[in-house]
Amino acid sequence: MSAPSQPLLRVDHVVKTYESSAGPVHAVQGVSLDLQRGAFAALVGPSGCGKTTLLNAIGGLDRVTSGQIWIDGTEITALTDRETIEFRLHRIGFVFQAYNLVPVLNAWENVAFVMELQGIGVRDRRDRAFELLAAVGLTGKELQRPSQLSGGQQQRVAVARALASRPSLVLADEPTANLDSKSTETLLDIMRDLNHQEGTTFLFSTHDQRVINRAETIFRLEDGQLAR
Amino acid sequence: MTLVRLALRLAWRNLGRNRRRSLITGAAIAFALFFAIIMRSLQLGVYNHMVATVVGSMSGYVQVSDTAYWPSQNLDYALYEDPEWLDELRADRDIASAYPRLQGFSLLSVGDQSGVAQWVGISPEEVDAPLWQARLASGSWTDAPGSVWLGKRLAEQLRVSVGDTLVAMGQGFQGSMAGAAWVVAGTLNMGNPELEKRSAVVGLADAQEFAGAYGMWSYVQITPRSTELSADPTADLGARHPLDGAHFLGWQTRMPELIQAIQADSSGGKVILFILYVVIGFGLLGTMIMLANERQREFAMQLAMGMRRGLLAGIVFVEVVLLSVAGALVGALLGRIAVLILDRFPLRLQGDVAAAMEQQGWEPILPPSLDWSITLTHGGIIVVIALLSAAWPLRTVFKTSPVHR
Ligand SMILES: Nc1ncnc2c1ncn2[C@@H]1O[C@H](COP(=O)(O)OP(=O)(O)OP(=O)(O)O)[C@@H](O)[C@H]1O
Ligand SMILES: [Mg+2]
Repeated sequence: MSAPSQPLLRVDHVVKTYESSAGPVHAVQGVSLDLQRGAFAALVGPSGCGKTTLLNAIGGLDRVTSGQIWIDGTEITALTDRETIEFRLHRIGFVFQAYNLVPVLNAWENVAFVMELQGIGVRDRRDRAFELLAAVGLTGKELQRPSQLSGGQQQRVAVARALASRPSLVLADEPTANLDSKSTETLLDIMRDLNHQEGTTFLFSTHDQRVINRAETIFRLEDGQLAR
Repeated sequence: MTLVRLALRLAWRNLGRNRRRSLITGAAIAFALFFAIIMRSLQLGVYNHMVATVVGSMSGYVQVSDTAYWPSQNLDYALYEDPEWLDELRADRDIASAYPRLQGFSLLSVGDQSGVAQWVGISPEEVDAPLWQARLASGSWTDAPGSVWLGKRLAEQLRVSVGDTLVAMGQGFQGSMAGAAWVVAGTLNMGNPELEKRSAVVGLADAQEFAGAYGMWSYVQITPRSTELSADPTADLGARHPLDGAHFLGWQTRMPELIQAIQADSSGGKVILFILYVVIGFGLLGTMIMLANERQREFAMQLAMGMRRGLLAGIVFVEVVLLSVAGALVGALLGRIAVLILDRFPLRLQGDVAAAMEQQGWEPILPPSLDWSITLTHGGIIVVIALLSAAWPLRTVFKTSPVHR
């Protein structure tokens, strides 16, 4: 379906305006960008510049005010709510800054969570989850609950989960914001390895210079607009 | 299938997540039900006791009589004996006992003492029943023809004792003159002062002979197997054992004042339980609001992952169902045990109330009702209240946006 020239992600003149009691907030003002398959890209900019807003729009978590977003040939801005949920479930992996994991599920169950929602059998889920936990360096921690893991380990579980169902695109909103520099390094190494091994496309937001340095592609956002 | 299992697993584990809160919530549900069961069982038990005293022994829970017999209770509207039909009644599993009787009024006199009595002819089987055996205050039961047993107070009023002869006179069947001389064979505790003042018990054959109503019954007195207030088997029994020209009347129809008094008193108890349920309901709602707030971020994350809101709502709902049903089961079990203990060792009233009751011929105890419908009704109510309180977290599930920040 996708020709070699076609980007995995195309954001076309996306505008997102929030209505607040103090008047409209123009969080994203006409952003256009392309992201190639297999990219390892960072969305950077100061606090309040619209990174989360843009990622939420790309991930189909929030509706745009105008503009279009295409992922792998599907115009997600044109999908119904129900279709959007399906699309998210099968095609997009998410890593958030915090509150990523279900507290009552252990590490491998959390990794398998999305696969379980997809209806994949327990054996396949388990194998894939253990394999991914090994890939993020958490062999032996499979049965721990999130509360028994460090913040960095929790984020690694979240990365493993984001990749579990082999999504086209993994969106990570400041995944390292709560981590110390060593954990940040480890997480980035892991993401980079998975990006290579599984060929998964990553787009993450950050304002951490160390993270920015590791990105292949960088999009700078300022006041809701891309800066060249 | 996978999803249902996922939902059940998450619901189950969520209960263990704040174990203390789950326990307290379950305990609140259990306690409310426990309290409701004991309170209602005692209350309905008192009514059962009352009904048993007023109708159980004498006029009967259910009467089968000629359709014209009530309310005049006229001897002329008697039934012809039907032993086959009676056997069939007695074979019914829902019937504990069925006794034919002939009944009327007469003047009793001894010397210059006289009084009006309601005579009741009872069958030999009925005499043998433990109830009548236990009633004897003096004298003995005998099958000697022409014997009469008088209510204790009637005997006092006529100043007769065992062995004395009295004369009975009155109207017999279809206007005939009735007269007989009966020998006092005993006096009876009737458990009810009214009955003790007016009852004269004779053998059924003696009664038929006295009234000239050979081969006739005024009515058949039935005690159903279950005498709980919630179960009135009258209509059922009537449909199962029809008898030409006769109908089945429950005490509720024959004594509307009694059932009205019970209903009036019962609503007082219902008000108390209503207040209890309102308090418990708000308590549960508070817990649910806390739960919803705590989980909102988690809901958002799961929605972002691609979880359907319906499934998320299902998890919360199952959680509340598990919690409330477990609480209700514990409450029902404890309530049942308490009621059984109270049945075995009934509460005994003390002081003035007890004295007044005893004077009225009531045993001053509070026997509980063992009716399962009390447990079922209140268990149902409390589970429904719990499920209603779940509306709050369900609302949260449907209002939470998957947007993360
Ligand atoms: N729901 C909302 N209603 C109104 N304004 C909003 C809403 N969400 C975000 N905004 C505004 O939109 C702008 C962009 O916010 P956004 O969260 O996308 O920034 P960000 O780049 O992710 O910042 P940070 O680095 O602090 O996470 C901000 O000015 C913010 O105040
Ligand atoms: Mg942000």
